[in-house]
Amino acid sequence: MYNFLNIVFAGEVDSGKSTLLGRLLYDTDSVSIQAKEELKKVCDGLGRQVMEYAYLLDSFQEERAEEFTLDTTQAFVRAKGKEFLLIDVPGHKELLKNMLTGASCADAAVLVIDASRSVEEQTKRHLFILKFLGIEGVLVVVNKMDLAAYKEEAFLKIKSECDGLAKTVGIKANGIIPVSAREGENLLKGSPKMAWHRGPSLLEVLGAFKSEESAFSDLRFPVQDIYTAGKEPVVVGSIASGSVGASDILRAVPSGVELKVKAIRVLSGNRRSASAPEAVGLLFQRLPKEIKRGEILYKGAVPPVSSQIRAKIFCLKPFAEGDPGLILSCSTQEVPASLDSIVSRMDTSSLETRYGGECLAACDAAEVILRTGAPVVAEKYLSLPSLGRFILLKDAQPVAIGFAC
Amino acid sequence: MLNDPYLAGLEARSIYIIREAYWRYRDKLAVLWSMGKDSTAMLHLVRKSFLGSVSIPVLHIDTTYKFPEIYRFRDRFVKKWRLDLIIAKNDEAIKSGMSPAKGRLDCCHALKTEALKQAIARHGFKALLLAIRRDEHSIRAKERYFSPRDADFRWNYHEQPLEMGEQSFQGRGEGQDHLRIHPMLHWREIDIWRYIKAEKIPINPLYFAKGGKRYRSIGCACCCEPVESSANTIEKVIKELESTKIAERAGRTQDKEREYMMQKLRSLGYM
Repeated sequence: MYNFLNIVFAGEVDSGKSTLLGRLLYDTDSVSIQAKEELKKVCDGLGRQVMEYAYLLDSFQEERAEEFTLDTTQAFVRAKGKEFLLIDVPGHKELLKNMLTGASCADAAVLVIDASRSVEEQTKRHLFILKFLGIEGVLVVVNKMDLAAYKEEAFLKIKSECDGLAKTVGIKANGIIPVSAREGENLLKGSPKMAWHRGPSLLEVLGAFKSEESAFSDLRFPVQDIYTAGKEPVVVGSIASGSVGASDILRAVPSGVELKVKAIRVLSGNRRSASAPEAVGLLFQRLPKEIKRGEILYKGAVPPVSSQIRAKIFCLKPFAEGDPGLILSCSTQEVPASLDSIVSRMDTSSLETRYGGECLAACDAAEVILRTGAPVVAEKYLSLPSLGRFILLKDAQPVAIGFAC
Repeated sequence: MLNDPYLAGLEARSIYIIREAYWRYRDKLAVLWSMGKDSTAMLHLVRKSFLGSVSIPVLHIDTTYKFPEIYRFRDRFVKKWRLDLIIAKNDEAIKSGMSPAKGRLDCCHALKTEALKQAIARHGFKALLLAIRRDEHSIRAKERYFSPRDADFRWNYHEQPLEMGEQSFQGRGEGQDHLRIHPMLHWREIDIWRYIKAEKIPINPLYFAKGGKRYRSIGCACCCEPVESSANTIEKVIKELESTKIAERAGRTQDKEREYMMQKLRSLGYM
């Protein structure tokens, strides 16, 4: 099977994330001959003296000319019989929306830090966001060791800063290694220039990463839409977890109604059973009128339903208690919401917690009480992210991401 | 059911996106079909999403420069799958003799982008399904699943919307002419072929080697070159893709005419 990990490369502006990713793509021969030729041509055209591996990811003209990453991108790497999907994200605070878009697809993360600098604002914020998204496997990569003359002291200085940071954020770092992306040191194999580092190379560490299987096994089926087949209504959706059988009795939340499955419909006819992540159509003996988009069909433990949610959120835009027009969107559910109160808030540039207040600023992380205009189903985020994570929208724009706690 | 859990995951994500698109747009949604491997696989996913029928119009942007095999393939499956086919042609540009000889960027723009603009205006579409993939081109790798376009069809890549996995929160905003929806964005070329094999999806014979060459990516007959290959079956195509170092679109001349051609074309509304 070729099931592989999605790994996001996060970190401060100019820590060399795109260069590191580009170099990995190049050295593992995961790019085409044509892409290599184009890279050479573009570097020559821009008068660059060295190969700018970042251009393999930074494909926009302005990204290359101005040497920054504007938006997230993804690339596949094949090496030593393993495959990875590597995700590049921008480091700028102004581009956090794009960072979140990329990081939300990741199972594991690499936090890149410049050896010639120290742990700065975006390093802290990105690490916090990784933890917030439930990404526990974070490998710290101390990059640009060439600028620190490959000295162990520079590496140890960053390492001690990172130990402190990991403790503050409450995340267990999954190792720390020194590299030079530009010079290709300690990427595929160990570096003689850093003989003091006895650990494995970057690729060896990534190869040992494992993705965690969710232990959640009860059926959760968010109703996405209702179609008709012949004259009969068919409830369509993707199975978020567990499985459904052709004569199962299901229940629905928030409505509380009970339903008996008559058939499981796919393209080629009916099936006896189906399981996550399959997208299917369900026909029922009788379809109660309560069943519509946003209802969650389930078996096993009753999912948590409430119209008052204690949640952890990360803000993209400022908003305040009592702001009208908020919408909470979770899986296929969408309901009016309001910010009832702020329990605590943290400034993610300093990671300092404050209590009270009525307004939230962009890049704040907060624990809040939300009220919704109708009951909402929210599972524990870490056990079932697709039904645990929500977005708050205001004037059709996302203002925060969050999950129930 | 798919035996391969990886392909099953790709498929489920695509179907989820197609159904989201239909939930939001209903009869304002159309699917673009070029009869190539990717959009034919997408059409299969549309059939699966709607449990057998294709409930939305199928749009073919006809430059009139396509391969005869492509037209034959189209007409055969329009009947078989009972498709509501709309052929979009920029008649005026064709009449005035637009061709690649007048410049590839201008030709692609007139016969594809402008033709699409005309069709959208005529039929009032608000959202389109397109089968682009990240691994085709590093510019396409920067795309979102749900990507808004303004009245001039511009792709505002400076301000792309937030997406969390396949969850998008776009499509309710003002100032948007239509939404480009990319249900196949996360598929690789090799995944498409493995899926075609697993699902027995019909595929155009141009993709299989004849006389030592095959087409890996198909556009207009005048602007695409076959690549050297002996892969004359699906199995051999998959085998070839496991080790090839040749880019998928290496035979597509419009990508190479000048630097940043794809970025220019796409920012003007090209697919």
